[in-house]
Amino acid sequence: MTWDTTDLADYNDIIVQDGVFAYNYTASGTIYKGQAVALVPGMDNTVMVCTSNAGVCDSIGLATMGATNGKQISIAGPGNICWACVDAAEAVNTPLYGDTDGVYDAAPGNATRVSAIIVSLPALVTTAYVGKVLVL
Amino acid sequence: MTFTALTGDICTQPGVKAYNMTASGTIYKGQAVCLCAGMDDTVYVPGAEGSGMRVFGIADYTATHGEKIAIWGPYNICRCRLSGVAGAAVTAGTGVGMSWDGMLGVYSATAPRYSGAIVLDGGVANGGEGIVLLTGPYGYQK
Repeated sequence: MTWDTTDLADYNDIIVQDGVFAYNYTASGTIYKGQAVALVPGMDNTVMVCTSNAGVCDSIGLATMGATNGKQISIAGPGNICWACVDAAEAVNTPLYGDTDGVYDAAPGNATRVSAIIVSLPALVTTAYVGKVLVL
Repeated sequence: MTFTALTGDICTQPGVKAYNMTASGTIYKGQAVCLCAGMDDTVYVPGAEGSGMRVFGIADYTATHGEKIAIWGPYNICRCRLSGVAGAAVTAGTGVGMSWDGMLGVYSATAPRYSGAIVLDGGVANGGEGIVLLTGPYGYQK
């Protein structure tokens, strides 16, 4: 799925129910509000959006704001219920894995762990399915 | 078995804030709950066991249908009621999943469940009170 920068831009708060404080990371490349991010291998406290599923795309959370390369960025990690883009209208309780373009996918691909679970049924918003997930 | 509501504080060691959900049906204090399919922010207590039920959390207080209810989710240590199966002890270190009437129960080949918590303080009779660390709605089915 290709990320549409308008997908979650209109959502005032990515975090729907805050369970844990958001973490402070540095962005590698441009990251849009609401994208799921992965840690950059070998770099301290730096996150990125996977552009291919060739490597591990395990997501560690969702960007609560947009940021460009090198800027600080707030990431909602495990324990938070957030708005997120998913690959399709997955059912409640479906386990999700990190995928390319900051979107969660029900198919593991090369991911090694479950990164989130569907809390409410995603609906089609413009070009993407948007629903609430519990970040794990 | 009919669930008897617990008294006192449900969460003994909070790690994460409780979630604000809506009750589907009556939910008693201390019952484990699942997410309702197709309904936003709504939880329920399965009346019977069955595959596919995943523990979302434990109710902080009693609520009736449609009322708001606080649910302690993953990463919290909470009190609950535990159920066993024949020959299986519900002791510390045992993984448990959704069982009858909002209790958390052990899993086995004859009673497969998705793991959703780890027992920290158990050793109780069927339906007795225990303490668990909630580990999230996505555990392996065993």
